[in-house]
Amino acid sequence: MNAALAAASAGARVLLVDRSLIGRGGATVMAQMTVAAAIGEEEPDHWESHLADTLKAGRGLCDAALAQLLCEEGPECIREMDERGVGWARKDGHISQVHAPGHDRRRCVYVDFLSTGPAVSKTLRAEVQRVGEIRRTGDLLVVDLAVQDGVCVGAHAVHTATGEAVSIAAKATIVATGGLTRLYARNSASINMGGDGYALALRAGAELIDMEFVQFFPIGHLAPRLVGMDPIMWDPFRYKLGGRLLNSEMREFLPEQGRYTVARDNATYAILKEVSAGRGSPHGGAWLSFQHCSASELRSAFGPVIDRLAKNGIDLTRQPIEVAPIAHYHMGGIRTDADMRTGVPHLFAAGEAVGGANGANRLSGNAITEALVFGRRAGRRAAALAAKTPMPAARAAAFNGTPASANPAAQIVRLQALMHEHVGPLRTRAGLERALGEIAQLRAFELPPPAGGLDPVWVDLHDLRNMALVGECVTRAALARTESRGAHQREEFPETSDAWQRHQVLTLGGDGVRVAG
Amino acid sequence: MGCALLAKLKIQRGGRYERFEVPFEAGQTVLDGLRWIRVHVDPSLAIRFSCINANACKECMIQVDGKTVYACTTRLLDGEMALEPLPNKTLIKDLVTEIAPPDER
Repeated sequence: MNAALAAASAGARVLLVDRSLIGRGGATVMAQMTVAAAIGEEEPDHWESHLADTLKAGRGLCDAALAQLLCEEGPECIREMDERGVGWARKDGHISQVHAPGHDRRRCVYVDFLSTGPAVSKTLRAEVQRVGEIRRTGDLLVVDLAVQDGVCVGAHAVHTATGEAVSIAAKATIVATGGLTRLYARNSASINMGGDGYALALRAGAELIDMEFVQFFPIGHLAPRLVGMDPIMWDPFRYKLGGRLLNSEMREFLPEQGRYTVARDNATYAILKEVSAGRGSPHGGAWLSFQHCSASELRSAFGPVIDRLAKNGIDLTRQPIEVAPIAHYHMGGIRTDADMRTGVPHLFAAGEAVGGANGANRLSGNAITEALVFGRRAGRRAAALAAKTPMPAARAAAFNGTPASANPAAQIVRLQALMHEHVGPLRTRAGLERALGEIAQLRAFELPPPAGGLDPVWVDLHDLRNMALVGECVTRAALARTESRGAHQREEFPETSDAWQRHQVLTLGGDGVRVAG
Repeated sequence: MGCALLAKLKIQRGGRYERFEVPFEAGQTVLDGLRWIRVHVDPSLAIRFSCINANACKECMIQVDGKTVYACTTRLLDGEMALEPLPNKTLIKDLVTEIAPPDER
């Protein structure tokens, strides 16, 4: 949405397409936590300090140009959102900033209570509704990008409500489809986070980068069953109140002393190690306790959220809850330069769909910042290119497959279980090879033409096609990287190797997915 | 957890109702049940949702026992429940209705 706004204000006519409702799904709306930018309202700050923290968290693997763009332009984008009325929390007349793990100072803004992502989405939705140059069309699922002589000229889509094929001609195209966390059985994803953009770009001839780096969020909610809440909700609780992570012996196993300081990858491995040593919580995670907090402290920090917890039968003053690592974000993605150009002319990418800015591990708070910054940059550059490009002809899509025999919804669940077990935070050669074999079976079909009307089976087949391709990319890149770094941990290669301080690049050829680097 | 509860879902699909029996654990939601049906019984069942659990996307509105609710925050009951599409919106298929604003279609 920020890309559409930037492109429109640069003079372009924009078509904003979403596979469901505009700006309702995706990752931003789910973000309950904070946004990092060196605006220096809480204490003096400079974007170079934010960059230093980002590079450090990235374990030597951040794309320097993209990381710099994120940190340098982050403050402008945060202030732009403030002017649009997003409602960053304030105290004493200035925007409130909190300390988040991996940052050297209080740098992260937020919207109370647990409303950061919904507020950002809602503000952007209101803006795109207001701008006449942006035509918004929902229920339009892009099946493939249209490519002519190696140049992106638009997209082939299906209107899911009617099953009708739609050809879109475009002078410039921006992929802003988010990440791939739906590939994992335990995730914090919307249904549209199945890696669509990676698959589209790869099939169009673009390169993917750093696909092995999937960030697991260490303390996703596990039990008791909680409804109407995002599973990553405990993060802001820990920012504000600390909290204690305990194993089955009710002993703290991280060197935290009740403060929230350990980076995500390290916390994830520590929890999984406790579980594999037989010291996990009953559902296979860790206990998280806020029993050191009084009811009034909890109430003043989280207000109405405490009532929502009570409706779920949870009283934090009386009981710890169970948490476990869940797939949360993908550092890898489409390879772009700092103008958000992919390797395919006239094709841009923005947001989480872009790979490289966060290296092997993303610093908390950088996801919405990159969505805003990369979106704005992509929108401006795409608009400039479109201004000097003639409108290409629309091209019809071809569907060669035959209708499914198996249940694709069940096959997606199988893929998610497979990825979680073998391509999760802890990886082995045997597990990765087993996953590749099974993914090959799941990939062995072609997409049939959509039937008339809304056809959920066809939509699942579409999703399976993209998810299996992207799952193969993650698995192949993980198999090739024979070291451990950040979010990628190989049990046979526990050390980080200087020789591996480099990116792996993936392409799709006639012989399948290739990994180089 | 783990106790064998059984929800009997009566789902309006076009002009008729179909019945599904869904095993569940205490605390699970109507949306959990509908997703279970799609994986284990009938993948052609149509339901609109995006965020699955967070009640962030507000896409999964349907009628349960005559009341308009979000499927993702309504708990399954050990017994019969009637599921219908929103009555005041154009029906697309099964439980999916046209809920997008007119200028986003």
